[in-house]
Amino acid sequence: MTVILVSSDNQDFKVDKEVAERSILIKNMLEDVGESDSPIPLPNVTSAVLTKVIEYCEHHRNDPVQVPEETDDPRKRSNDIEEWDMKFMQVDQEMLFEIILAANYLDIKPLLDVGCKTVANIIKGKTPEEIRKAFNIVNDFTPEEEAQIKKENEWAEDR
Amino acid sequence: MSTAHPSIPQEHQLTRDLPGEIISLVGSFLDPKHLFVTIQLSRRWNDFLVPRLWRHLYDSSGNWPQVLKQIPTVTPATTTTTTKATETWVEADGRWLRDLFVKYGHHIRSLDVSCPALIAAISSAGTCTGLQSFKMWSVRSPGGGWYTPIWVSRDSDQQQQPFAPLEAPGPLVSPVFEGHILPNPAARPAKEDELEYWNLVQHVWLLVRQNVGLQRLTLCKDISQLAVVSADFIHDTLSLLPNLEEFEFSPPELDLDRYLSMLPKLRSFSSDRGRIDCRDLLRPYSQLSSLSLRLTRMACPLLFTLLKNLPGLVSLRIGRFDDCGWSIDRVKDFLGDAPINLQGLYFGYYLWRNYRDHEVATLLIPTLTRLTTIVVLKENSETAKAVGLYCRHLRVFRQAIDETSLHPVSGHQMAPNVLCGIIESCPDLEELDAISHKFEAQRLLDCQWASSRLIVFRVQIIGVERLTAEQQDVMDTLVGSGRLRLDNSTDLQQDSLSEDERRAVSQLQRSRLQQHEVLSRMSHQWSSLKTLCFGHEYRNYLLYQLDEPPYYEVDGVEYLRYGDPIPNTLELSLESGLDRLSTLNDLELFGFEGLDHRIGKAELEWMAVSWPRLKIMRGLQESKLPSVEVDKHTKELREYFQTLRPEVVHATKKISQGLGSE
Repeated sequence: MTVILVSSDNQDFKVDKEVAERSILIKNMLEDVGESDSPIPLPNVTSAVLTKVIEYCEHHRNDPVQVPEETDDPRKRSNDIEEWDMKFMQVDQEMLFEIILAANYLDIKPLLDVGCKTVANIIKGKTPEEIRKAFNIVNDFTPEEEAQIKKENEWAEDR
Repeated sequence: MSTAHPSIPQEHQLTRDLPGEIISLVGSFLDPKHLFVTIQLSRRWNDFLVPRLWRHLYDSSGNWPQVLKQIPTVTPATTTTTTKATETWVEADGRWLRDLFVKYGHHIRSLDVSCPALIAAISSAGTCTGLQSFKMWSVRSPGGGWYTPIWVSRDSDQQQQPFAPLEAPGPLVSPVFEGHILPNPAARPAKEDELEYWNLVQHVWLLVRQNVGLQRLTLCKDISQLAVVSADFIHDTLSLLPNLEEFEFSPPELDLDRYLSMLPKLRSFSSDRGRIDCRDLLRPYSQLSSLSLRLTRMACPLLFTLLKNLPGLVSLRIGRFDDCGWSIDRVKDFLGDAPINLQGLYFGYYLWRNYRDHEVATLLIPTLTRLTTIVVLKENSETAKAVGLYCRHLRVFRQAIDETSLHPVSGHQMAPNVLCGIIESCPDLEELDAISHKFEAQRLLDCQWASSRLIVFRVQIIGVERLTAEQQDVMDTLVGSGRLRLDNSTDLQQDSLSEDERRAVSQLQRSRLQQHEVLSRMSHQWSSLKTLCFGHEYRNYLLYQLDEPPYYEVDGVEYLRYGDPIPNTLELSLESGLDRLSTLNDLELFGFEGLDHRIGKAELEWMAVSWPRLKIMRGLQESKLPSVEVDKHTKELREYFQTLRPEVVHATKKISQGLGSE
């Protein structure tokens, strides 16, 4: 069985139900609607991003459903991305963020995780200035505030 | 540090920021040192990631030790005490730490601490009220190092007298302790630390009382030793913690019944100390699934009361078992129809000499038919047999103290083949970690191997009919002379051989056939093995503490005495079928009898390519004992294997490969 997804720029994507249901949002929608051929509008996702997201869902169509972790493990790791996902995430930063936002909206937890891990890996090893530059973040701290943050959190500093 | 992501072209820079929830999620994949960087980025990133950074505070990690070293050892006694002018700078620094927690304490969910000054600061700040987990494994002494009690001994004629009470080293930190806390006259800290510790105990309890949402609480036995807190106070505090699920606590007297009646969610309780008796458990409690009393001598009535009244109990750790003269009939009468669901039984840490093999085997094991994991001590022949008879669901059989299992005086004289029962009747068996147990090769072959999912197999194999030293000489000469080529597949031309030679050759053929058979069967049935060890692969370095010299001599060469070499164990040569083990793709640990193998360079080359996941090798390791002559042959082999597989560790330490979680 297939379903039709419609991107924000009004492009139709015909995908297997099994693939579309990697998105918990779509899965729940389909369950609510029941048997229906009507297309599913996704007003928050452009066709470029939806193409990528579908590519991911196709590749992972047979993965076991992730059980939500109850424990809050402080040692979650970002270096366990599998090879295919790593390649999949080799996109420009705008697209990376778009994919993360789409995964968040569509509720595709594994994709969201792999996106955030990729961002985490970009952050690692960079100075604050380098990260600000990469992510276009404006530093709105005064030098005094910055000094205070460093002092109060120096226990965590890498030295 | 390298990033997994390629560098980003400038034109693709972002024009907007990520939503806060995404920033938080990114933070969950970052270590504290990276979070430290991200909280400096902007107010927005700071807002979302500061809670993440402070979520888990572990005072032995990061730079906490250095930061705390700068804090003078003074406890801010209470939030209300006025400071004296003479202590200004000291108090100022102590207050700096407290102010830090006034600001950040509410973010902390999980606290692992050992530093008294830190606990005092957190407790005095009063903001740390959202803890889910509070663990204190040990107490750091103010002067560095760890708290060590000075035990006060008493004269023999004073034995029955209570200790004279001591004067409190300082005022109470809070009025809630009025009438509930006294210095412990039996175990005193050093004089100069008394006040610090006196305050510490109170701050710990105050912090517990501030955190009524606690799910996990570990209070090391030092906390119960440093001062005597009344049972009423303890019970009153526990009554504030309805969500407590895991609790570790070692008071002098354990009132398990009371704890369970107040803590409806308590799943796991452990204690290193504490008297407990069977009147303690007055009625059944279903919440508890794991109980660890690893130093407790469990008398029969107590143990069976626990089993009867804790129907949800799946894991139990005890020091030792005491039968108290009970018979199995009495045990059955006592238990009646009570369902015993225990799946894991662990003995440990108590003096191994007191393990009562016969009593455990005859009274305890027959009642535990659902057991999946048992960790026993050394003298366990009868237990092992009983487990094979009664515990069909067994997954793990393990010896608790493997590094001393080959102690020459511990009597590793266990009857061979007692594990056959387990091999034959436990289809779910995954781990047989029993290095002091022996299998005779033929007996092992005669067994039906019930399980096909073995992951750990660690035993001694004996009784392989290998050549005697004389026969070996005969063979060596024969092969050396070129009159005989040893080849598994071809029939030997025996006509030209002498009687001695013929006998040696046929002995060799028999022995190799048997070894082929053992190894083939393993490779077929147990292809998922990750740990495979035969023989005394572990050398016991603790032995040099014994009076008996830990060495023995062979041909003028001293060997470390880790038990006599096992005679007639597997050769593990390619000719004797080592290459049958090529199915063991997952093998991570391989161990063998270090003195009686026939492993040479060819075998090492074969292992190097056939076991890609190999991480640890035991049998070629270096002796750590001084004055033991280096075994040149072993050294040469080890160095050769290191050139082939440099990443493989030649283990000298106990490495836990076990499955059964404890």
